[in-house]
Amino acid sequence: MLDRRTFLIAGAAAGLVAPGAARAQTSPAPARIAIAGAGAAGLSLASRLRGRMPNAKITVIDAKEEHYFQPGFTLVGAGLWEPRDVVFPNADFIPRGVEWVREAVAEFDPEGNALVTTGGRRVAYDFLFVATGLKLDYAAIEGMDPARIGQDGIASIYAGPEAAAASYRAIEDFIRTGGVGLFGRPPTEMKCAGAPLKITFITEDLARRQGRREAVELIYNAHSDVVFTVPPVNAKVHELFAARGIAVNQGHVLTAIDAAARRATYRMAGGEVTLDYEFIHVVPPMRAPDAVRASPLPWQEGALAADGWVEADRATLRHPRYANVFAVGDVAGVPRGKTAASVKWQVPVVVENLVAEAAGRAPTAAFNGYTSCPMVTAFGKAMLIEFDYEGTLTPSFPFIAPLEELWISWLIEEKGLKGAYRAMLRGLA
Amino acid sequence: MSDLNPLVLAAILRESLGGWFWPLVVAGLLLLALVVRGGAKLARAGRSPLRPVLAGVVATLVAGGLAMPLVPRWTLAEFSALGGAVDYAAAFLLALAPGAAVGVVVFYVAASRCAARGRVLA
Ligand SMILES: Cc1cc2nc3c(=O)[nH]c(=O)nc-3n(C[C@H](O)[C@H](O)[C@H](O)COP(=O)(O)OP(=O)(O)OC[C@H]3O[C@@H](n4cnc5c(N)ncnc54)[C@H](O)[C@@H]3O)c2cc1C
Repeated sequence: MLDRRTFLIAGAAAGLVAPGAARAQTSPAPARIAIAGAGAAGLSLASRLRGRMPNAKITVIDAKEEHYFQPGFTLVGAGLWEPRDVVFPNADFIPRGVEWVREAVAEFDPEGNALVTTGGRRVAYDFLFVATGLKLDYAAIEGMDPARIGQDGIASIYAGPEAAAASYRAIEDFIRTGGVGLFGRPPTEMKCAGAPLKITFITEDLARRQGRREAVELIYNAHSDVVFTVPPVNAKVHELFAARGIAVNQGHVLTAIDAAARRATYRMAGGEVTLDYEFIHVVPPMRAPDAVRASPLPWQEGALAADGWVEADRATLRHPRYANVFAVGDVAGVPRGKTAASVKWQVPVVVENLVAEAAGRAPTAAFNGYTSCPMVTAFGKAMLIEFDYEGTLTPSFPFIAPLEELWISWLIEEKGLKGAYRAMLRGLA
Repeated sequence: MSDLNPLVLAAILRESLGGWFWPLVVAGLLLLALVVRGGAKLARAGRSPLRPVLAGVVATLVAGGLAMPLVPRWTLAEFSALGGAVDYAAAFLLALAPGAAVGVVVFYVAASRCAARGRVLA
């Protein structure tokens, strides 16, 4: 099959279309491209590839009919947006000429250059883009049932739009009744590591605005010795937490909750500790989806192997063992980069490199690990945090200080992000 | 975000505004037509555009200033959320959009009057 790929590329190089220096090059290669997952990365890839490889047969495989704008879950959890504000029909974003198989991938067979869907359909490919996102492993927390979100003081904005809305109701109940509120994050890699902090800030601000700040005790249980892995951001969040009376526990990993008794158990270096709560915001461990984990695609060793993240070169996102496989979005086994903002920069890199290769040029585009999330610190205020693999802050706008709480950063979160995200899905941004 | 060119911005705006995008484009074109028409009237009457332009600019700034406190509300925040100078500058710039609509109307009315007076004097 790799021979077919080489043949396709060599043949296409001769007919490469470069209409003008300013316009992006296209490739006439009639390659079969499979995209597993129609989330932020999958749809964005489909749109860009459709434009750049007009003769390719592009197949998107995903059973989900609805697309979630997940960055908006935070604003739903804050009671500002409705669930309908973050749900779009997937069909609106599948580009014309792209086939959408409405089933999940059950099996990846990179040796055979094919995948098998849950309905038993075998999809052969010349190039595969794995864009399945990740799995929220609520079951790994003993006693945690996502169906209970919104009841018994349990919140989790990660589980979906309705769960985010139910989380807001749980926050309101908690502020009314008072008591201890627990927050935290899992020890695994996770998408938008800022979101657990945002919901902590939002709860604090809401309690203050309702004149109930004295009635609630807020505790952030960090899984390690930092609340955020980028040092200047970590320091700033610590400073803000201290100023707002939010306590921080280090090295606390949530392992179990007793919903009826409202008790949470944490694993610590020296054993276990159980904390009583009135309210808990649960962020589950995150792993690659089962079909990916069961395949030969994940890392075989190292820190990213245990949870099944797809092995990928961190600059090109190409699989080192299967040269015709790329991992894009949350499922990619690269450090950092699990945000929609990262997808925005990853997709042009892999598409550019594929088209360059089809032209017989060396692929030179590289992803620098760009990760970003506007860190909401209060209603109407946020910090526009952007950084790369090295943890270096990489502000896009010289006039927006990344570690300053600003309304303009909130403006980007509340008004800018959704439009930019939708334009990204269409391959336009 | 370093690739924010006018085309990308237009795509983002279109997705952000949804169904409002085309009505707003049409409204923008109508305002542009008013500017051109006002300018043409002044030219035909041989009148200087200075005073109508000044009236339009002043009206834009005043209307923008008045609209500014509403801008944070549009983002579901309060005016007190504005903190740094960049916040005030951004809020004012955004408020200039409705301000400019008022300014264009004022310019057109002033230009029409000015041109009519010119014709009477001639
Ligand atoms: C609460 C919250 C807040 C966030 N805040 C921000 C933020 O402020 N800024 C930001 O940039 N990012 C944010 N993110 C992260 C962002 O939403 C994700 O990083 C982004 O959606 C990743 O895109 P993806 O395509 O990899 O995964 P997804 O968008 O999750 O899509 C994965 C797709 O793959 C499909 N799939 C899964 N398994 C299979 C299978 N076996 N076969 C076929 N298809 C499959 C799924 O159905 C889904 O459609 C946030 C996320 C959450 C949850």
